[in-house]
Amino acid sequence: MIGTVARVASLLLLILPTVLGASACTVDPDGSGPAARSTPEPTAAPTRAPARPRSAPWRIRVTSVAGRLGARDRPALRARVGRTLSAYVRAAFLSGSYPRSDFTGSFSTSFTKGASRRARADLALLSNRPLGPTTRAVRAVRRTADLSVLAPDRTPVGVTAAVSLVFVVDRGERIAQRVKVRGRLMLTPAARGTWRIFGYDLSRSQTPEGRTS
Amino acid sequence: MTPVRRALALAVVLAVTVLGVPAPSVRETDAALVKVETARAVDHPRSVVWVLCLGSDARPGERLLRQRADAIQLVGLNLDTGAGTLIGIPRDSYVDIRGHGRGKINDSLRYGGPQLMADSVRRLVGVRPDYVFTTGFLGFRALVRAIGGVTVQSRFAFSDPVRPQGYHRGANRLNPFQALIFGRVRYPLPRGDFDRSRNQQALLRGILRRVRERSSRPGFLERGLLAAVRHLNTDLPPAELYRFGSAVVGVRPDRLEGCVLRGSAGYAGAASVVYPDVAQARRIGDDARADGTLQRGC
Repeated sequence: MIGTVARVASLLLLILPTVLGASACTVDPDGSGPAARSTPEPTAAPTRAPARPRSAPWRIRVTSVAGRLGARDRPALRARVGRTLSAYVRAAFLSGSYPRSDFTGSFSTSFTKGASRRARADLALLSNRPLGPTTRAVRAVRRTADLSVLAPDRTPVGVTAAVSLVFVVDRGERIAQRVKVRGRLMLTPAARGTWRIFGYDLSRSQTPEGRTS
Repeated sequence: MTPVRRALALAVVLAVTVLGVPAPSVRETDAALVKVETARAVDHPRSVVWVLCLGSDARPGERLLRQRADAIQLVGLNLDTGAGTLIGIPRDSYVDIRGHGRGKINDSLRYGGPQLMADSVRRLVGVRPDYVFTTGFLGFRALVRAIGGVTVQSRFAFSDPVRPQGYHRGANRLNPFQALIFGRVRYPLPRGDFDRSRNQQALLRGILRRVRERSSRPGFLERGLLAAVRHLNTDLPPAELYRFGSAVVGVRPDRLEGCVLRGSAGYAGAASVVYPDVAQARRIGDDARADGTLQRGC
């Protein structure tokens, strides 16, 4: 009896964070999709070791509007721009089968063609390429974007996203690394309500996380 | 203290140290020396862009594009290298105007709008502008207001009622009205219209410098571009203007080489005109056309 209660309790303990985590992601453009494909998800199997925490959800805010943007339009803009930002971060850092050395496709769905070409020349800064071959998993511990919007005539035509991204890169026996990517991503509308990144002005730093895993 | 007690105390200290102090500190601290790498790029359809910047003489209530162009600057920007060229064209330059015979180049705007103005400049310099931006007195002031004023490097000291302290040689911090006057006056300047054109180039550098300094401030670029949407006449749709503006931020004002076309003063009938040095204009155009920069100087 006691064993059954303990199993149920442990099951609840494992399920609860998952449920709470999902509700915290209501503004997360990753949704329930492949948000943190590289991050092992919590499972309900009580015999497994405790799962690692999943990636932090996105926090995306519209912080300034030059022109006018209705209150109703802001969530839609946030969601659309968020999808693009999320697609980039997933492809360049979180997803893929690690260890991984090919990051050239990181920008194909989220950047304009020209920006994608330029970004491939800056792979070491715009993706996890420097650590990819020795990476076991990547987890985002911070994903924020403050959007400055240009919206003459009530229609958004340009967005600068001030992003702050922090990843913890698990490298197995090697020291884990904390990677910070900060700066600006510039976006304009593309077809069918999507947005594309046409410019970037980013900085990247990397420090040891403090313990081997 | 006995040796045993000393050893014990030492052991306690060591144990506390080992247990209490974190593992070798590799976590980032404020004082840590961290290598920070940066990258910047903006996708623009053209890597070299030629912009014809016009200041219309239109007074409030007059049609912006049906007046003379008081300020004429052909700006070449190399968006890959961040370098560029400012080619000042004296407004009284006496040239061929398509469909109108010979006349002052600034009349091209009045006769045929930005297209004819661009055509007259192309015929003189040999460079076809990709974009034409036209603004008037009020629009220019609104643009400068949107970026919070501008600092210009003046080559001359002169006085004007709008600036009680006067314009000094060197750096001058100007409000929108003072900036407008700086780009308009010519009588206090030794070479009149030629030096005024240099002042207009100093203004363009100052505006670019200001925008670059503040471009990372949230909303600054968007506010400036909103002012541009509202106060610049251009065929560029707002989204393209946004991309263009974002790209221009990558251009360095200290790498914008200025050149004012030479010419000699004279008369065409009763009109005071400037006969431009067409050979120099073509040489400059040939030099800068491909990459937006002057290799052989002015």
